[in-house]
Amino acid sequence: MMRKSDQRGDAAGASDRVEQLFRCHHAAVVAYVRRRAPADLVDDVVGETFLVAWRRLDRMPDNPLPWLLAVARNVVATQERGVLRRRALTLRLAGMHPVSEPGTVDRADGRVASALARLAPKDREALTLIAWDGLQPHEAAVVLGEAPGTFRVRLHRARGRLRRLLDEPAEPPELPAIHRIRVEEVAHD
Amino acid sequence: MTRMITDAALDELLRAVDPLTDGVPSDAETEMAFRGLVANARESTRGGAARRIRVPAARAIVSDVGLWLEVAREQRAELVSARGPAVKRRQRVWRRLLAGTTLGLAGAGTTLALILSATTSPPAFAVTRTPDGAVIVMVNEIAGISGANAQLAALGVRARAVPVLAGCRATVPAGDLVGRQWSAGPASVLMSVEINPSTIPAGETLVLAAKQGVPSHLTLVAEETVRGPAPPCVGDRHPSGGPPFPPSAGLPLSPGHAPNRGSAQSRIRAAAAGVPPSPMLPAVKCLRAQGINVPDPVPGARSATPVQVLQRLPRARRESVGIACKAQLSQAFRRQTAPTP
Repeated sequence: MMRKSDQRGDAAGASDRVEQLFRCHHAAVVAYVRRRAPADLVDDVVGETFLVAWRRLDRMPDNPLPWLLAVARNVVATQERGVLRRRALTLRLAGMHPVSEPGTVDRADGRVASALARLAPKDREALTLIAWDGLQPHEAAVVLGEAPGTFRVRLHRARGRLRRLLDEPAEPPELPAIHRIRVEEVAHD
Repeated sequence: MTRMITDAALDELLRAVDPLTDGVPSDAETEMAFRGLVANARESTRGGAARRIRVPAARAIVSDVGLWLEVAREQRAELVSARGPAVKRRQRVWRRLLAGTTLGLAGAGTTLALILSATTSPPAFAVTRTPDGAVIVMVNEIAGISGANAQLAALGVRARAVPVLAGCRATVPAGDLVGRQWSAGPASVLMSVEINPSTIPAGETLVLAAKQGVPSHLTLVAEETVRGPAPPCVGDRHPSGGPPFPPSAGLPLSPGHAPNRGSAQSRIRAAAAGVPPSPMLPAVKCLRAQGINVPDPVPGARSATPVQVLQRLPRARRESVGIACKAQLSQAFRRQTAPTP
């Protein structure tokens, strides 16, 4: 049976570790969440992430950042589901139909941003974990819950898809249908 | 054309559309967030929802005070302290602390993990001289400024603690940059700054700006030197136009801070030993003037830390800062690439 003094020692050790963990990785977790969640959710997500970490200190790996980002990713997903559900309910009650939900990346301008937005979510996450969050592939694999080898394949393919999207010629502006018919008629002649 | 885009170039393209516009949180924001986390945890514990969470009654603090305590214990240096009604109780507390019954002291020259009870009342000020000639100044309350200054004068050290007042209009001619050390903390932490009198240019006075926020929160900053005597007060911004003082809640104890604090001490010590200041110093100073938190440069060494901090900024911010600090950064880089004779 554990003595009280041992328990106090454990508690103090856990507190130290939580504080160290927080000061080490708070900035990185905040940056990750700010990139992926609406501004009004950031504080909640970050706080919840570290509370989860506090509860699960015994499961913390040696390199905690990828683990923390994986928790943050789950918390963001949970929070966004809740927000979207509430928003949909509000719109339904108001008799309105939801318009497309602008994502974080969609708001950014430029060809790269639009190409990135056209990728599958996990491919996009793989690319951005490396480029934006500065993780190594084996760390990013932890965030996505994948084996390192699987992640490397995903990253390779995602980069290939992004290159192809970037290489596509910019789509010409859509002409009205009547113009297209006339062009086709002229071509047949 | 796609084959021309390497992985690195692709990552660079992606970084250009990084939506992180707010940058990373400052040390002060991190500190406030940590307090929020502790408060939330306490709330959760009270509600019984998360009983496994052990809220710390005492907090682990990495502080210069560890060095101070160590020096005080080992060298039996005179501690000038103890003002106010709780003198005897404080003396008892300090005797107990100095006896080392509750502290595991780290090795010389290192910082120390120190757990202080929130109920422990430290002295209002303390000034002590270390064996290597440095002087450690601790001011825990604004009321302790006059006592600390008297002791500094008695020791012949041209440094003065000066309160930071919002309406202060005192103007003084700015001297040379001696260094900059941050020392801040909540109630249970002692604020101390280690200075080396030999690094203070002749005819100048090192200003230790003490900012009192909410009760028991004080920030002590070793600011730039001023020519002549110290002003009676300084404004929220230094008269020389430097960056604003950190908020009183700021406790930069992040991993970036621990070496930061250590590097400040080592820089001062190295200055005394004849090691030149880091060539990154002007760049660091400029970046801080732009509101970007950069750790102290390591004395005599070149560090890529300011560049790494810049790389983490959003592009627009990076560019504006790059333009503002172009001269200092290019100077740092030029020196970095120059062959050492």
